[in-house]
Amino acid sequence: MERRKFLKTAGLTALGTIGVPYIIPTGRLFASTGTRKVNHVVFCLFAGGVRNIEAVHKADGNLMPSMLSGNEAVSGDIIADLSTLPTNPLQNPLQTYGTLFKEFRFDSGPTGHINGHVTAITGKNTNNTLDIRNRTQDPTIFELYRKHSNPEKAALNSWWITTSNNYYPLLNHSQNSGYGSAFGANQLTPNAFFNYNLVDEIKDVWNSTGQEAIVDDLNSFLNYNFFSGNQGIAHVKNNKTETERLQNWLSQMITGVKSGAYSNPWNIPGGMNSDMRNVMYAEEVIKEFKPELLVVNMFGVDVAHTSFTRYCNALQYADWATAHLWDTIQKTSGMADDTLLVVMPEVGRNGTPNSIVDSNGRFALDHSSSDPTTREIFCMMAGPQGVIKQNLEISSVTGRSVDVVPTIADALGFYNEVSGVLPGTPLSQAYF
Amino acid sequence: MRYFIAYILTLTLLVCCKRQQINEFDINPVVINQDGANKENLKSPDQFITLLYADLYSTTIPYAELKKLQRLLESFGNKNVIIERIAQNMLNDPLAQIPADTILTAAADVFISESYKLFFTRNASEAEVWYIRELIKNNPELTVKEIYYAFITSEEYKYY
Repeated sequence: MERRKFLKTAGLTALGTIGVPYIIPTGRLFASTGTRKVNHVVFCLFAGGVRNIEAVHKADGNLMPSMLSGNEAVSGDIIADLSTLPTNPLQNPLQTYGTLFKEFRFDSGPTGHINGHVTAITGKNTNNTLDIRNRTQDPTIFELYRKHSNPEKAALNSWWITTSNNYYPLLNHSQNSGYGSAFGANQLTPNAFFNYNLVDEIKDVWNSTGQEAIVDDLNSFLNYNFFSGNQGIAHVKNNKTETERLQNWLSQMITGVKSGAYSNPWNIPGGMNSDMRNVMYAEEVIKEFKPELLVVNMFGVDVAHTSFTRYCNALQYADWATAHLWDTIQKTSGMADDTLLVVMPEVGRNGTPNSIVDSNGRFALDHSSSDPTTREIFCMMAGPQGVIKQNLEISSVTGRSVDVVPTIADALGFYNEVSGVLPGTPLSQAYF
Repeated sequence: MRYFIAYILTLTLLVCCKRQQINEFDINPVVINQDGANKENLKSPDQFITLLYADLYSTTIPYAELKKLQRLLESFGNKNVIIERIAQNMLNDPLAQIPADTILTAAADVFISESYKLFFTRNASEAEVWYIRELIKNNPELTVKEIYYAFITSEEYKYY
């Protein structure tokens, strides 16, 4: 028992030592006083593995007409199998509202989806030792934002909206001893959560008896007696006022789900895919909470492992959803003209296809670390005029995925506080 | 130089020497803690749901029900918000085995002690019994459901 205690103490001390640079990375004890470029950032992980060849190089025509300028015709052999989506929700393609880095790079680490997500959200490269069952050791952008903003930000200001419950929810905070759940983001997997039958399990059934304050007192008493210092905060928490807002919002959303309001509000012929639904629910969070930092991901394009044509189709859906997201931001009072939208795939896909052929004779695409094409991605930054350079296209190799976290930190005014621990730098080319 | 060698030797002795404990049966000693301070492990979503269901229904949760509730809990970062809602729905279920409110006046001390055993798997301290007894006495409108709700949504219930 003594030895276990010693090992535990030694381990905690070591962790604490490692954590020190994160606690005060610039040697300052207090949070930042940096100037903000915008007051809101939405980071859309255009994920699932997108190859530049089909995206910004338009080898099969402009498959992303809502985001990219140009009328290049889609290849005749696949066009019949692509869905017809409504016209662009935006007046002009999204790239005209900002800067497009056409030759961005995921320049280090295994090219898996989780590695790509971890790099995008922590601003750190990963390697083969990444533990995909546990939270990262490096603090996430949510924790950096909440801890280093001045004043410190409440949880309701930061959201992580993810397409699946497979590992990704764990990215709302790290296990870093200097950060952790106390600085984590609210996380939601709406496609799993807002299910018609499932929400019956959490419907409103609790009628007020006027005893809420007494129950709160009892709860506080039980908690006061429990904490011994051995336990960390179990989960992300919101304060009492925030929790009430969250509960009220959930009640509204559950009513909406039961009434069918979220079945297909975008009127997509054939229905919305899971990427679209995920973005739609992210938009509901945006409209309700106007978060300062929201990260949302997509994943549909990963069908490319087995079908090239369906990959191209999924690319169209992701494109349309991203444009809709920008449209919603611009229609949301408090976020319009004060939001930076960053769009980036987490990884690319191989230059050399695999052996699976679809009905149009096209070969499917994997994403392997050994194939250099997998490291080629793009990044788009849309934002207010006068802050973000509009309609700028950078075609030379510029920027890396580790630069996104510093860019967000810079936009929200706390980059100086975290620059010492991040390998990347802000994408200043996009700023005036 | 002599001081330096003496310092190194002392340091080596300090680092290398540790008290040896012999545990020939390889059994971890069990420490019973009245205040729950030995609960350091967070229950996973499925553990939490399984135990909650067992505590309120005195039976094992059906697999399909477990999967549904687990999915809800995994899909939302602020677990407290979802735990509150799941607890409210279970406590409102007529099938849940909840004592009648009359127990609060008839046998408050027994009810409090049993609640600690049920939810926290430990005995209540005298101070804990006293505090809750006074709370019940001073708030006659308080129900068993509400007291159970406070236990279920407490931090201690999240750990084992």
